[in-house]
Amino acid sequence: MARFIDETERHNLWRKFLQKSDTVVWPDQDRLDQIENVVMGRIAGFASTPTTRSFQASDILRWSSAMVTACLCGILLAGAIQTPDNGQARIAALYTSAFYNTKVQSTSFFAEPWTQNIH
Amino acid sequence: MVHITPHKGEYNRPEPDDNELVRRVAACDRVAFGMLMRRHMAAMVMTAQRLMSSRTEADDVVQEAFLRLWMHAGRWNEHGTAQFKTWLRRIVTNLCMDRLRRRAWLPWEAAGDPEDENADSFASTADKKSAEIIRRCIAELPLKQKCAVQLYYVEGLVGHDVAETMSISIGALESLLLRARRRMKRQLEKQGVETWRDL
Repeated sequence: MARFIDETERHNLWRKFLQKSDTVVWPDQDRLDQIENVVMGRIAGFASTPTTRSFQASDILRWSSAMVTACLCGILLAGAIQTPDNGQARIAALYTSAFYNTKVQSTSFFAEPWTQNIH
Repeated sequence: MVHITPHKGEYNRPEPDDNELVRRVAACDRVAFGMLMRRHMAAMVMTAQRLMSSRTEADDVVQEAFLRLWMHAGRWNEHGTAQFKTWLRRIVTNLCMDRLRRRAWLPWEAAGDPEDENADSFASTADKKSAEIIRRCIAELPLKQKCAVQLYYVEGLVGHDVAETMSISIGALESLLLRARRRMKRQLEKQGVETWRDL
């Protein structure tokens, strides 16, 4: 990047001239604490609301394998209760995966790798 | 400096630099985030207040900037050309410019809170009036020129940092400052404010 000519007299004069009109004062500690508290409060809110923003490849792999396992369990369960046709087995599998999506992933075991990556 | 719930051994270590703290923030370390906030917040408040001319809006902008830092700390490239503080100031500046664009239709008088009288460097009433006119001239500059003037002349940053903060080239910064100076000089002379001959 090209060098900026900071040292010219003209710049210095303008600095001196304009800085005299500046009324902004260094913020007091109470004000800074207040801003900090608001920010800390808001990030605490983020942490309790899991998002998928920071999914890592390993998390997706883990999630997928858990999903497959849940589907297989659903199919086996459907077989175990001797459903007469495959349609019902598929419904059972879908039900299980839906159950997984809403319930299982919110448990601490599955949620942990994601919540650690939430910003 | 007061630390909130530091990690074990935190007191025995030298103060971590910004890059280390940002790495820790990217891993959701709130202690590191608190340290970064306390280290840079005051300077960011100053920058925001100069650009927004409003204490309340400056505080809002700084809150938003630190929230963005928390969410996007992983994007910080510590091997790049800019320092962390410049990157953070860029976030603050961009947020300010977004807000200023939105409120561009407002009259200047409605834009900000009254400033602290005690902080005025001008002693006499005449000087205070001049200061007010100068502030108004800066506030009425086009957005980018205003930003360049505030960061370079009023805040006193070096040209390279201002260019990095505004994401523009040095040449573009010089051009903005030149146009801003010409415009301000015309305005000041029209308003009867005595400027130095060399300005």
